[in-house]
Amino acid sequence: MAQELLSLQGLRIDGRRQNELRQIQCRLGVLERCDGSAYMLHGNTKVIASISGPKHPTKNSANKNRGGDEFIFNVRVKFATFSKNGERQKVVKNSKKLGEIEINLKNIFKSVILVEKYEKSQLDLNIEILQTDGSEICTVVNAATLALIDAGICMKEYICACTASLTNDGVALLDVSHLEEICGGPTLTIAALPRTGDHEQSVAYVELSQKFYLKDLNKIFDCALMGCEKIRGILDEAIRSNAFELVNSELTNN
Amino acid sequence: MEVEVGNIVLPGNIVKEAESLAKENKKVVLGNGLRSDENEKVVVSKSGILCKRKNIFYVDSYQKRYIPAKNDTVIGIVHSKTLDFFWVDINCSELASLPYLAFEGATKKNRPDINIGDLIYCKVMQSNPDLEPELVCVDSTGKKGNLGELKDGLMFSCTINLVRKILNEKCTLLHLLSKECPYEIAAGINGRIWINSKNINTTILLRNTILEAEYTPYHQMKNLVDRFASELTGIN
Amino acid sequence: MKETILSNNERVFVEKSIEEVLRIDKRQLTEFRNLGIFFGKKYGSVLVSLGDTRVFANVSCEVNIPKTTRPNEGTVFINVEMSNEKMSESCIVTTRILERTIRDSRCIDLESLCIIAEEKVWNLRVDVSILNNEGNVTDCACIAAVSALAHFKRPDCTTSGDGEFIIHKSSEKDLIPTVLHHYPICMTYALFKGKIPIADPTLLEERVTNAGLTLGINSYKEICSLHMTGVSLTSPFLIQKCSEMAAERAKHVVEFIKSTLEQDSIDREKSNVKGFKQSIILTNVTSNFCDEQSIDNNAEEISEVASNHDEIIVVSQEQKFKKIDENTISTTKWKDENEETSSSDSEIITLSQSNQEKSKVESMQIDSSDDEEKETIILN
Repeated sequence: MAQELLSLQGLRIDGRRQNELRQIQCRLGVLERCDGSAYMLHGNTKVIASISGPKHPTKNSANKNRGGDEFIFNVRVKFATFSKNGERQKVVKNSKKLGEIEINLKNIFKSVILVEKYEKSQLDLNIEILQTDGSEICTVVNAATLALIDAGICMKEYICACTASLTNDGVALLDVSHLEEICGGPTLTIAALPRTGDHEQSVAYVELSQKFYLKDLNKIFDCALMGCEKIRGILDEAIRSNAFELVNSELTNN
Repeated sequence: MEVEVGNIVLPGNIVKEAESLAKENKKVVLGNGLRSDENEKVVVSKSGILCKRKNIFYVDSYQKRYIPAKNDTVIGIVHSKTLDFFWVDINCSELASLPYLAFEGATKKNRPDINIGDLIYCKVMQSNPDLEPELVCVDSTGKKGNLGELKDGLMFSCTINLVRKILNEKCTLLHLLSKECPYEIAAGINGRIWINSKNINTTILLRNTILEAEYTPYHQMKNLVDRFASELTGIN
Repeated sequence: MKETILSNNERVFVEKSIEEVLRIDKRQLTEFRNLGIFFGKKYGSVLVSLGDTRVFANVSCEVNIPKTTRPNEGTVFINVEMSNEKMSESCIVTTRILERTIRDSRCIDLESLCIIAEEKVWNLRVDVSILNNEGNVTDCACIAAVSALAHFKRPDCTTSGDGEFIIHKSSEKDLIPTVLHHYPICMTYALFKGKIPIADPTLLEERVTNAGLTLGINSYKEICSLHMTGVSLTSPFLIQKCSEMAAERAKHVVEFIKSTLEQDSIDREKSNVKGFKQSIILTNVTSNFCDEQSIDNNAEEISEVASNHDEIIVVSQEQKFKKIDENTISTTKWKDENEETSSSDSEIITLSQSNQEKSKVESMQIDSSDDEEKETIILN
């Protein structure tokens, strides 16, 4: 059953080359009622992220918070029931996988958001995954970054995430799809801050499934980091064109 | 079963000496771990060693949680602030309150400069079992004394009997350590000790030595301090 | 139960001391605490201690329907519990790390757990309980889960053709051990300011930084899982450095697990199963020390109570025990004053005197000590 991840001609199962990303499309400001929102399409994975805040902390959050002055960041991730290939999923409350994704998102974004500016306030991030085809966490992180920028939250840098995998021969593959995840080798997900000037790239989050040899760690890391750079370029373009549109519409209005 | 002073006691044992003293109409004070039941017998309620000091009988037991008692000096960590007082955590069942005015030189307009997470060496003023304990940072004359905020240094937790042991007159540990190197120490009866010394290495060594002293008999404290001294010179 | 708040003093002190390359418990920055693995009497139960952190793991099996996507493989379910919190953050994170390290790295041979393809397979359930959290629970839990799986033996079963199968008792057929392809071990490094990795953080160090890197590696230098916890930004170079350090240690840990397993099987053959009591052997004076003391027991009361039961169990020290005559048991001096530490092995002796044979215990006499100053008793 094990399909060739990389054929003799250097093509993968879906016809991409070894270090090609899938098609990425993104749009900001898709939901009007939220303070910030973004829609992201990464191959066949579709995600909507929405931000509500910064606002006054709700009663529940305030009680849990000892010390009083902290910034509260709530994350909720939901897979739509029709998201996976095949039958409709049941909605599982308190699933450990979702819980872990939420905790990881909180940690990733708390390391980039300038927390000192938002003391005593609360930020809610809602993620809805409409369709999954591999690299969900990746897409979620990228969509959340866009939504935060759309909402005008102060951040140090963009956070971009990307996945990479490894064939049996030690060739690194960029951006795994669902099929490659199941029948292939290890999948490494990285969320990183891109290189800025002399700043080295900093990694905010790493996750690895399955196993591979230690000596191949370099390769797969570098591949994923390169993917992050590429995605950053794409996100950057999207944000600038969005800003351009806004500015233009303001000018035409006035 | 009847026990005498100096024995290991278990709950339910009867202390005859206290009873006989009481029958002679002398004043007998029952301290921690003892109680008197309906038949006017003095019964042990905690396990440990039965001790006696003048006319006070008490049981020296192993404990990690602190039960607040009046006039104890404790080390607390500031948990949160309200309008009039701090909530301070002193390692007992609930948070204790420390009013802003209970500091030296504090007035309604002049609040003490203490933040959440700071260490405070304070005294237990009231410890009613129905209310939260109340703390103060001044003595009865209104002077600060050695109470107040503890800056720098290292605070660590230990069992309550370790603190009592090192504060005991018979224990020479602190005295011997002071001959080796200068240091500052604040021991809270709630099982917290704060130490400060010249550099971080010395502080870490002091902490480890004090923690080891829990299982060292009094006459072997010298050996412990000698080991501390050799490690200190070994590093410096 | 809320945790006590971390004071600023402790936080500042730990950060300063790490900058000077010192740790509070005098370890090196890359040194791990002592590891102890103790197997229980039942197959698949193990108690692991890493310094003061204690974790207990238990493996059990039952027959289940396999997953539709993998019809001829058994399943593994891992559950981590902390004593007081239901589903706290750290519990979820630990469970997921263990699931990834053990399940997704395919260390267990799942195909051997199949009974009847597409219908019945064995489901192994690993329950990990955190008994004492003194930092670095993930490592401990991982070692516990892997050791428990390696120790566990499942009942043999034979299938008849029509889809029926018989599970044999251990007395009929030998139990089958689980096949592990490799032993994945987790190593946790706490990261200070994203630059300095500290191996095996204690609870205080964990609370000060919050950020950590957990690596799952096996003895063949294969990385099984990688996970960053907490809020921090690190460089990829650091992650690679940590993985190399971890790979070195993984070999030693796996050898240790295998040697303990061997020792356990040797002990079982000699019917010398020690169980968990090895884990509580202490070599220190643990409490107050006193020479001897007299206790006048009301012997008649005891004998009345005893007459209603068949056995009288007397707990005392093995070596200092002497039976004077049929009816009296006396213990001599409990501890020599000059000895600082007691002997290593302490075993709890159960003396059973059935009432029909012997008469009752009349009195326990232990001589008194006049010296009030020497006040400590050793409870070994």
